Amino acid sequence: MRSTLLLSLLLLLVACGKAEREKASGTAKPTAATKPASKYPEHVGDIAFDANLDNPEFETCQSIIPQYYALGADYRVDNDVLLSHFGSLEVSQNQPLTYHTIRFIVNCKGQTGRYRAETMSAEYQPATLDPKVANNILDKLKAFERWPEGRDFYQYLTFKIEDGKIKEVLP
Amino acid sequence: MKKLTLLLFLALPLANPRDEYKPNCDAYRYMGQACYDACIQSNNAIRYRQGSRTSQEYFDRAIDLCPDFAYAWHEKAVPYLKRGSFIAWKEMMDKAVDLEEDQRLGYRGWCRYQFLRDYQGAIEDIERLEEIMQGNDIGYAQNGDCHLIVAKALCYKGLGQTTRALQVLVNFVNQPDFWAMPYDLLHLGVMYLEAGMYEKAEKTLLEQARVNPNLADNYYYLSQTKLAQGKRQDAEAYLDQCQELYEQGLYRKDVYTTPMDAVSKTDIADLVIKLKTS
Repeated sequence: MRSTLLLSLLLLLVACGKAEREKASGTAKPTAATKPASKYPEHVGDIAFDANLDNPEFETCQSIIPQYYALGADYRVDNDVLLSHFGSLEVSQNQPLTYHTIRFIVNCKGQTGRYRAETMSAEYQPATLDPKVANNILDKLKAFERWPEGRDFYQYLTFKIEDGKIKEVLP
Repeated sequence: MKKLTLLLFLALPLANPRDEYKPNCDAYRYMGQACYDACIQSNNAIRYRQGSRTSQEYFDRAIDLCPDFAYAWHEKAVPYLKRGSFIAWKEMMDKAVDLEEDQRLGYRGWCRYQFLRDYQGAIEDIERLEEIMQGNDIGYAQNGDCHLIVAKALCYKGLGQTTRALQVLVNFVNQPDFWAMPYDLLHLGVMYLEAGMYEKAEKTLLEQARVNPNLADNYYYLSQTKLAQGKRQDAEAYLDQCQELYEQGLYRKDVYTTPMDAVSKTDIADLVIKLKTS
């Protein structure tokens, strides 16, 4: 009994000491009261609902939505399935090597929503993609019905466009 | 002894599983107090969920204290990579590479290959690292799948330079101190198969089966090899092995991306049809 009490006291002292050290060195986590508004969302990559962009009828089943990779390899769709779905889309031969990424949410019913797109050059700089091609990709994504069900999760698809076609669908 | 066990048991929850990834801040004292403090801030950052607001803010504080602290730039960038924001990732990762080229190039090169199939960019990073390291070992892929030289060979294959890819990989496996990683010989066997060198493909894939006997992908390529050699019965037997292992979940998979030469259900279904109609 006495040793348990001593041990508890020791742990308490260690914890207090750590807090004091953090306070002294300025490494303590800011409290809600002192904390200025952050430039970050709760998690990098979170997609908040935007009434100007998003379908209000798209619903998620969970309050916290994990990334696809947190759910294991079974929550991944084979790349060849994706490539056969998207690969036939026509792209101009004049389009230089481009990476077009769409981030989105898959809900527990296997439906998708809250799409956000980013187009990047081979030099990892912002680039443009023919809006008609971008829309065709998005429409095809909306029509894809083979997402795993049961959990909400964040997913992204990157379309590697080269030589007038979609060469790869990643990740 | 009982008290010691109790103490260890009680102390266990205090251990952070990410502590093993923490840099040793004492190693940065030579950069000055601000950089040492930046390291402490980075260690605070990795105590929180990767990509969480708190974690990112700690990295920002580290960078504010010591803008030359490459580790903070590198780690702050990682969640952007994993979540498909590649412009943001590259900008931060480039900063880390500029500051600590020898330590960061291998990782950047591997990620360019793994996440974007940016074969040319990955080759440039890996070859630059080879140049810097002047014959010393350049290390392994971030996920431990293979040596960076193997990744370079796969990039040449991705660019369609199959002869060069084969040359790089053969030279690598022929080194006296070569030690096969789980998929090295699978990649080499597939390269031989694609080059029409069936005997070498079979020999290499059988060697792969010795290294890792429970890999459905390997039997898929053995089946393809036997089919190409016109040995249908052997091809069927290997395909059966492939399907059996695949059903047990013993195939190559990765939570982030699809690895090169990984076999899918569609590949297997196509081979079944090919065998039936051959």
